[in-house]
Amino acid sequence: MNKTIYRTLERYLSNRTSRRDFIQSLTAVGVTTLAAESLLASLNIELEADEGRGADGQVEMFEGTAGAALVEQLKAAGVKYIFHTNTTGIATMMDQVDQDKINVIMVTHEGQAVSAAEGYALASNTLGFFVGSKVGVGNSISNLYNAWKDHTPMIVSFGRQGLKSQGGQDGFEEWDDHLEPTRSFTAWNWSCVDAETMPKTLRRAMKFAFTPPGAPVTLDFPGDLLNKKINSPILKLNPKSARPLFRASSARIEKAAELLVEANSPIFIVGSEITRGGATKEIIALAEKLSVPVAQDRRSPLFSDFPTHHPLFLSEYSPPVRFPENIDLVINLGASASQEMPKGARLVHASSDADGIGKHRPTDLPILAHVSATIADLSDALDGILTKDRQQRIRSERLEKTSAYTRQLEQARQIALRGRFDQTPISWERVGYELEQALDKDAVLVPELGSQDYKLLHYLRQGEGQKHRIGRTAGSALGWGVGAALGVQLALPDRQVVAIQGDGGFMFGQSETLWSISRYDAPLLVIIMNNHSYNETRNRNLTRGGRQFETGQDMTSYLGAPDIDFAKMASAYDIQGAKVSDPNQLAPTLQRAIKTMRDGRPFVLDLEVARDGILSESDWYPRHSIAELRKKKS
Amino acid sequence: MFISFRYRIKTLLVGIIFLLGLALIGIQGVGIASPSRPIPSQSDGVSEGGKIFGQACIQCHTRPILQRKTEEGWRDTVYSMISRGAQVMPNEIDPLISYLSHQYGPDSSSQPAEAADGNIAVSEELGQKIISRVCTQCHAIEVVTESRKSEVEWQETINRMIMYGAVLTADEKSVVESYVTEHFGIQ
Repeated sequence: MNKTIYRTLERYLSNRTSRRDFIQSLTAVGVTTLAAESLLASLNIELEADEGRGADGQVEMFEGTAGAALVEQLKAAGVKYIFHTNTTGIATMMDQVDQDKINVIMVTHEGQAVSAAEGYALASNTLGFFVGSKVGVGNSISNLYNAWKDHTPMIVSFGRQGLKSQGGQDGFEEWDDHLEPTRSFTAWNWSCVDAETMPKTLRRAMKFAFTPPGAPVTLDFPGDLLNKKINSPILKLNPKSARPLFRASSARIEKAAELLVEANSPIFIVGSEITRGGATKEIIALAEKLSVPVAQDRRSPLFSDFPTHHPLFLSEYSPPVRFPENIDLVINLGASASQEMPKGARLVHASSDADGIGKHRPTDLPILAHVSATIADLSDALDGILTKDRQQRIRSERLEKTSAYTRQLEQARQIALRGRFDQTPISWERVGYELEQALDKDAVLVPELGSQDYKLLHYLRQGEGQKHRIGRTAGSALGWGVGAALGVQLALPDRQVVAIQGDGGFMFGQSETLWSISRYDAPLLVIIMNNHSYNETRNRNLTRGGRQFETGQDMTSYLGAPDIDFAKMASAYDIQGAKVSDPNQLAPTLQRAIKTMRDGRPFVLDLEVARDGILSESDWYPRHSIAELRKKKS
Repeated sequence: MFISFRYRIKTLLVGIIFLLGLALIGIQGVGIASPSRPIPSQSDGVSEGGKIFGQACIQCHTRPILQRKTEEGWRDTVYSMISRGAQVMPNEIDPLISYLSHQYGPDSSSQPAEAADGNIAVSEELGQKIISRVCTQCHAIEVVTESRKSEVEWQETINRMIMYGAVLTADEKSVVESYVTEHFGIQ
C-alpha cells in the first residue's frame, strides 16, 4: 500500500493527476476519504514551496538515510556548497556529497564558516547553507547576528545528540533548548523530531529564509534521525521563487509619483534592497528621468546601490545635508529610515521590510513592496503624469545644479588626495587611489573597516558596471569580512575579489580562515590596513575628553606591542604576502599581488597606514607583565 | 595675405571670450587650493570659516572640539575629513583651515575667541556671554546673530543644539532663550 500511496503522491505533485483521482486512488486501496483529504491538504502546503502546483514540476522519491535525503534536497534546490566546520554526527550527510553537483567547504571556526556562507549568498543571490557541530552554536552567533541584520537568506544548521539523549539529561555538548540562543537572529528555528519530514522541514526553512525581507533560519538534526532510513519526496525548487514578488497598489504608486512631480527639491535615499532586488540599472534610469539627486543610506553599508561617481550621486547621506537646499521630499528606496530626515521634508518609504517602515519616524507614504517593482511602477507612473518635454525641462535644470555640486565634491576629494599622497605612514587615500589604478574595473571589494572606510572607498569607482562592493555587514560585529570574502570568491570565481580589513578586525578570529583560502586556492587579495590601533574606538571613547584624553593614556585601543607581521603570518598558511610601508612601493607590490591572483593563489598585503584623530600619535598602552607577577623565579 | 572678414571676426570673438574668462577666474579665484596659496587673512577667514564649520562639520561633530593643532595639522585633518565625506567645497578649504587654526591652534585658550566681526553690536549681557562661550564651540556667532525666528522656533533650535551637545544649565537655557528671542526674533 505504501508504494501505491507514494506513486499516487508522486503523480499528484508532478501535476499528472487531479485531486479527485488522487482521492479515488487512495480510497481504492483502503485509505479512508478523511485520511486522503488530510494528506491532500498537506501536499498543498508542500506545493506552495514548489511555486504552486507542480509549477517547477519535478518530484523524485528518494530512499536512503535522512541525512542523505537532506543533501539531495539541497541539490534539488540548487545549493552547490555546504559550508561546514568539524563535527561528528553528520556522516550520512557527508556520505551523499558527490563533489559533482554539491561540494563541501571547510572553515575552521563556526563564526567564519557562517560569514563565508553569507558572503556566498550575498554574491550569488542564492541560499547560503552551513552545518556544524551541536556545541558550535555559541561560536556562530556573532555572524548569525550579522546575517540577520543584513537580511540574508541562509540556513545555519547543527548536528545534535540523538533524541533519546535530549531532555534534561545534561548530555555531552548538549543543552535542552538548543536553538534558543539563535532565536533573536532568525526568521524561524526548528529542532527536528522526525526523520521522514526532515527534507520537508528543510524546504520550509528555505521558504522562511526567503520570505521578505530575508533572514537566517537555524535547524538542528539529531544524529539518530539523520541515520534513519526514509522514503521521502525530493522537490526540485528554486528557493528564491518561493518568495513572492509583491507590488504596491497603483493608488500608492500614483501618490508617490505625484509627490515627486510636485516636489521642488526631492532626493532618493537608496539601500541594500536595490542590489538584492537586481534593480541597480533601474534606479539609475529612475533617478535620471527627473535628475533626482541620490544619497546612499549609511545604515545600509552592504552594497554601493548607486554608481559612486555618477553626477547625481551625493555620496553617503549625512544629515543635515548641504545640498540640495530645502529638501521637501525624501523617497527612501530599500533602505532603513533610521537617520534624521531634513526638517519639513515628506518621507516616502518603499521597502519589503514591513517591520522597518515607520519604525524610526512617521512616514507620509509607506509602500510595502519589492523595491524593484516599486521603481518600475514609479517610473511608469511618472511617464503617465509628465510629458517627455516636461521631464526633459525638469531633468536639465536639476542635473546642471546637482552635477555642479558633485563635481566640486570630487574636486575637493582630489585636493585631499594630493595633499596626503606621499605621506608615511601610507594615507588611506593613497591606498584607494592605487587600488583604483591596479584592480580590474569590475573587481569585488569586501571591506570590513571602521569609520575611516570612506577615506579609501571614495577613491574607488563602484556601482553598476564598475566595482562591486559587498560589505561592511550592517551588523558591524567584527570578525566577518575574511570569511565573507572567501564565500564571495567562491560565488564569483572569475572576478578579482579583495578583502580589505583593519588589523583590529582581522584579529577578531579571522586569521584561521587563511587556511581555507589556501586550501581551496581562493585567488583573493587580503589587504590589512595596519595602523596598530582600534582607531574608531579610540576616537569615540576620547571624544568627550576625560582622564584618558587629558593624560594621553588610552587604555584600550593601541594594538602594537607586539607589532604583528601579517605577511609572515600568511606564509604559515602557504600564502604569499608582503609588508609595505613606503607609499611608492604600493603600486609595484599590488602588481605582484595581482599576478599571484591571476596564477590562482591568494596574497596578503600588510600595509602600514596612518592612524587619525584623537591621540593618534600615541603608542601608549597599559603595560602589565604576567611573568613579573611570579613569585617563583625558577 | 588675404584674411577673410569672417575669420577676423571669429578670432576677435575668441579673444574676447578668452579675456573674459581670465577676468572671471581672476574675480572668483581658482578653486584649486594648494599649500602655497596664501591663506586669507585671519579676520576674513575666521568668520567665513566658522560658517563653513557650522554647515559642513557639524554633520558629524556634535561635541566641542578638544584638539589643538597647527595650521599644517588642521590642513591634514580637513583633508582627512573631506576624504571621509565632509561636504566641503574646494574654495572653502582654506577659510575652514584658517578658522580652525585660529580657534583651535596650539596657543588657543580652551574658551573660543570672541566673534571676529566687531560690527556686531554684542553687549556684555549674560545671554551674549553664554552664547559666545557655548554656541561658538561648534559654529560661528553669525549662525545665531543672522537668524530670525519666533520664540517657539528659537526654543526648538536650542533644544536641538542641546541634543547635538551644547552644554547649558537650565538657568542658562532660559537666559539664552530670552536673549535670542529679544534680539533675533521675528519682528
